[in-house]
Amino acid sequence: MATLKLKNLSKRYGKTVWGAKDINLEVNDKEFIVLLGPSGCGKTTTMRMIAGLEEVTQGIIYIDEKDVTFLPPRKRDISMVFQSYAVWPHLTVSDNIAFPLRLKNLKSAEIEKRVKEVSSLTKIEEYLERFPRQLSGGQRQRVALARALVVQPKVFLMDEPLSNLDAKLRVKMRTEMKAIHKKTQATTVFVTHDQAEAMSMADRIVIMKDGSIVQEGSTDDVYFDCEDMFVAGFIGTPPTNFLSMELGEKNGKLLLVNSAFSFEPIGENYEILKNYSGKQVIMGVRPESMQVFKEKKPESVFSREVLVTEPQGSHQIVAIELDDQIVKIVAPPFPKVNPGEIVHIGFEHDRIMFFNPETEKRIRKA
Amino acid sequence: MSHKVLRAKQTKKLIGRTIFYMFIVFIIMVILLPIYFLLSISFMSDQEAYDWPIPLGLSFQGEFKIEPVLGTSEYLVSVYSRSQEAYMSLIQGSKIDQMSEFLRNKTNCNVSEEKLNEAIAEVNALYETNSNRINTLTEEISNLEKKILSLNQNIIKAKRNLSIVEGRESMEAVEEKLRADLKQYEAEKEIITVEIEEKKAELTPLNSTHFKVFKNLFANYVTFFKVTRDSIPALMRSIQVALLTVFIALTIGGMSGYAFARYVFKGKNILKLSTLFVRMFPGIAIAMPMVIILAEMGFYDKPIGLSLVYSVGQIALTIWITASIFMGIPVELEEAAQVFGRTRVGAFIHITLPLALPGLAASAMYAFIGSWAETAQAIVLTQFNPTFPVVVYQTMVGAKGMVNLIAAGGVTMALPAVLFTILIRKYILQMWGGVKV
Ligand SMILES: Nc1ncnc2c1ncn2[C@@H]1O[C@H](COP(=O)(O)OP(=O)(O)O)[C@@H](O)[C@H]1O
Ligand SMILES: [Mg+2]
Repeated sequence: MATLKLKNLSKRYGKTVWGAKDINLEVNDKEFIVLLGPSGCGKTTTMRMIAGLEEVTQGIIYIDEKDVTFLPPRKRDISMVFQSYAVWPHLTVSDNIAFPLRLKNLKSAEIEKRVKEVSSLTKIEEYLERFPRQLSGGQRQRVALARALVVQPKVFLMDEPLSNLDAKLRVKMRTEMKAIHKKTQATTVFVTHDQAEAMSMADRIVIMKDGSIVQEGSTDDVYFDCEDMFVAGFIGTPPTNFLSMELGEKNGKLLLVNSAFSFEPIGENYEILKNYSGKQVIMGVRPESMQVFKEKKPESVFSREVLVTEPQGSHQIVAIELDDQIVKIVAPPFPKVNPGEIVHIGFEHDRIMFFNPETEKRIRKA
Repeated sequence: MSHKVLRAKQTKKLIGRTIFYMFIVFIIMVILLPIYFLLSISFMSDQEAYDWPIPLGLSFQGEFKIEPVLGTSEYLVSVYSRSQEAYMSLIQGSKIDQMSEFLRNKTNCNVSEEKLNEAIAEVNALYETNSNRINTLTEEISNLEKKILSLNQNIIKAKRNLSIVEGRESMEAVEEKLRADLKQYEAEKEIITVEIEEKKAELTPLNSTHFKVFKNLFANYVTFFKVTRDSIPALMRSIQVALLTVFIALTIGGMSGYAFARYVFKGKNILKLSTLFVRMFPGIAIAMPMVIILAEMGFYDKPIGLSLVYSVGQIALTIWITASIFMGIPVELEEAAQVFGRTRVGAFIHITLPLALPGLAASAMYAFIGSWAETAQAIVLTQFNPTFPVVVYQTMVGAKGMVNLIAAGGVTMALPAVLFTILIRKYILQMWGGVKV
């Protein structure tokens, strides 16, 4: 197993379209890294450059400290699961899996052994003699996975391997693939646009936007400690609520004000905001970092009429209107809140994130 | 669901199925009937081919009848015609060798001299034993025929008189009588005709004998190759031209098709369309200037020259077929092969090529058929080394009106293309089922 390092990696299509721009990333040995971002943000481009299927415009790719930027795919010691699976239709399942091994001139006994191992790991032993057209989508996906695993590559690449499966199977495969990773300990780059998939599988998530990396970190990092408004808005369902606030001063104290309410930033938040007096900031607060009370409490900051509620079983989503903007709050399932009811709303102050309205970047402690 | 409804539904289904099969059979008939017709004509003898209506079924033997011609030493040979359901006279003569040859040419049946001699001996023996009866019968028949002759004269006379008196006043009595006479003559004639028929029917087995001879089904083909100048070398040249064309069209057209399918480049659509323009010009128009170019290259009157000219049109078609085939094969399959150890070329050869084989086979077939049977350009572009279609064409022009011979030529022309298609049928049929990926 091995490490992967991307240095200033860029890809330009034609004269102006940047598929990926200045990607810097280090993947540690045995790490499971997920590239996450909306469609068209350059995940596939980045992955194809790592695989050697796309010519690099700028930058260097290291696998195990070795520069592989200009090596053809077969010499990079990688393997890949394609979004469309790319299982060869004219070969049986076992021939598909054995294909990379045969090219390595392994003995047939060894090939057989490894095919067997990997097919039991991916649970396709029964289908070895079938042709791909005789398999379901999920089974084909397993074949693609088995073929990629069997070569025991240095780096394992997967481009949205689960996106063509139905929702239930997708969730099941997540768990299975995670278990397989635990067993094989392969250094993995996994691409997805599905944040739930990313969060549940990743050791580290790399969030991309418009061809560049905007943030990388653990699931908790990218969820609770967002670098900018894009990440805060992209990760989490329902997404982060953004409230436009002005920093005022009253009686020598800082005060966050908008048209509906005002409150005093306390603790950390004071430290963060103390240089922003008189300026506009954007307050980002996750739906579950807000509290809904039926009675007025000291913690509550303002009151509002409930617009709608969405019961979800384990919790309920309460929507209120604030400055022509819908704010969603995730509340415990009980007590039940009803539309039209006046509720009192508070914040978990240490979970609030502040952003610069111009740069959309996070405002951190100076 | 009640029993009745179920029953009605089943009936409906049955009717639907029946109509469906009738439709399919109809389609097959429309496609196959002309081919069957051509084939069966190619197996027919001259005599059969000019029968009307032309018999549709194949016959494998001919039925002959031989009888002595009374008063001469000659014999009359007839053959049974299936469409007339009667014996048709073919030849009357006394020279056995000439008769045998004539019968062989006319009916494609191997009527040997021995067979004829045998039949003649038989019919002579028959004549000996029945001579008395035959003589009486012939006499009776000739008497009866004389009677008919006089009756005919009477009838004509009566009719003439009738036309004179008809419609005149005061002649009604005469007219009446004439009519009665006419009626009587005709009745008499009918009776005598029947009598003659009976007598003849009795006579036929007494003074004639029948024999059956197997037909040589391929006689027309043999004749065709005999009368066609240089047919075997021309056939070889044609196969050479067709295979060369397939090779050129498939390599160049296939590669361009791949490029069209896989790469984005400027002017792709215009280029793609322009390949079609090539096919819009009549081949013969391209052939004319080609004579000069080929002559300069030293390829005039050579198979390679012809196949170069044919390739121009075939490449265009091949590009279109293969491009759509390659487009149907996902690039990822090739990329996966590259990731798992193949070079670019290796991925193409081991993954894309086997998957494209049906399409390639289909375009090979088109190229083969298109260049194999081409006549117009070949006439212009060859001189001393004509291809098969050219010599067939020449024979057809020469064999004016010999439908069966021409049919044999046509079938011979189709044969290599059919063979070629049968050889690659596995891939062609796959193509019909669509490339499954
Ligand atoms: N072959 C190509 N030619 C031109 N532009 C491309 C090509 N492939 C991708 N792009 C562009 O590069 C950007 C990133 O694409 P991609 O890496 O496929 O995104 P993702 O996989 O994240 O959805 C997109 O804007 C896309 O339009
Ligand atoms: Mg993608």
